[in-house]
Amino acid sequence: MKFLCTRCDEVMKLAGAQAGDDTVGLTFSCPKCGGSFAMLTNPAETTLVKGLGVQVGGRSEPAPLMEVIQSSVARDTENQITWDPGAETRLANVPPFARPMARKAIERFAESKGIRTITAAVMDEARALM
Amino acid sequence: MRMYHEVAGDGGSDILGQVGKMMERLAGRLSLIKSVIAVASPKGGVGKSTVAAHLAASLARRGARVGALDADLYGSSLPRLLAPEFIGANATRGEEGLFPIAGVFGVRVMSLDYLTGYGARASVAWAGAGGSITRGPVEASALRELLADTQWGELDYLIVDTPPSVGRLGDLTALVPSLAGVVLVSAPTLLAYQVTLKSIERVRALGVPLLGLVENMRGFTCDLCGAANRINVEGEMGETLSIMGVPALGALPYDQRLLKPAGEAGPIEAVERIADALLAKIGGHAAARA
Repeated sequence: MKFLCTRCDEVMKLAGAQAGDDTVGLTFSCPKCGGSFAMLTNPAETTLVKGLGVQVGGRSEPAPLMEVIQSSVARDTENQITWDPGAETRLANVPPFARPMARKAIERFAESKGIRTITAAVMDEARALM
Repeated sequence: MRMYHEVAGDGGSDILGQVGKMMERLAGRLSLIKSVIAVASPKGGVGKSTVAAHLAASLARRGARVGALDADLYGSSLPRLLAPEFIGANATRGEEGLFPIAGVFGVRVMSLDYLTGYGARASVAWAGAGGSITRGPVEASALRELLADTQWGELDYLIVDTPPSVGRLGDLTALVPSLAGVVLVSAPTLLAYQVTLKSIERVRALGVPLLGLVENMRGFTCDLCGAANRINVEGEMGETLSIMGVPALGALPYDQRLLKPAGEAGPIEAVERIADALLAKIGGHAAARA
């Protein structure tokens, strides 16, 4: 999609992007006359573009791993156990072949205690009992 | 006012460039995999996942490096069949991708179950508006990411358990143009046969080799008298298949061992015969491509 300034016949440049919960606001401006406008996408348009795995405005970094899956899965926030960055870092020290088993064991421990966020302290507590 | 083709560039998002990068990442991952094999069926409940899992385990038991991708996004079964110890586990993130879960005989298993945070509690549900309009692109992207963002490493075979309906095979063939072929699975009922026959032309239209058909649940052997019984026999498919040029890879009986996680009950003769037939076919196709 391209945008032309009807006054100058110049290509409008993307000047900014603002993400809402499920919408995006994109601002375009004319490099010649400075005129600008904003395009606001509705939730369905936003979901569709996100589902294609592309980013409006382009990317400066490679796409994150499993980006579409991670951003599109409806989260089961009530039952989900999350790992804080410190705990994830510690888990990364476990050899790859044993990581899933270690992760599962700690999540099982957390679930049994009603803990929803795994921290380094929770990992220590779990290890003490293993 | 100038029109679209008179204006250079693409509006600044470089969508084609972004798509190119996605496909580069996928191609890099696939370059380490010798053969990608799809297990498919136009009907649900015919034992597609069972065949996929037992074939993967059989090939791995023979020493091959095998991956198994659960592309049945809403009905994933491979975690239970190939990595029962890790039901509910989450995949761990590495530098280059997410590590597959190590299943039986070292089969590297990837499924949405390892990514959603639901574990095995529920099928995936997608967030966001748009319903059926947006679901297709999200599903196709999810399949691409499962292939491209999993750190499979070097594999001899990647077995892909596809969702029911061969219409969905197109998503896979678009992503894996070098697909070694499709194994069709059917149950011995007239209805399943008829739908399978209808799907053969659809598979051929995709331009991928049809490796053959596995007939599942063909019959059972009586524990008491040893008699082999056929059940649900409403039609004989062999002759029709041969007229249509579809090889029969083999048949699986009703066997309690097939209901257990793959490999748990040791080698199953019928599975081994199908794996032998499959390997013979892939060798033939590889030679034909070379």
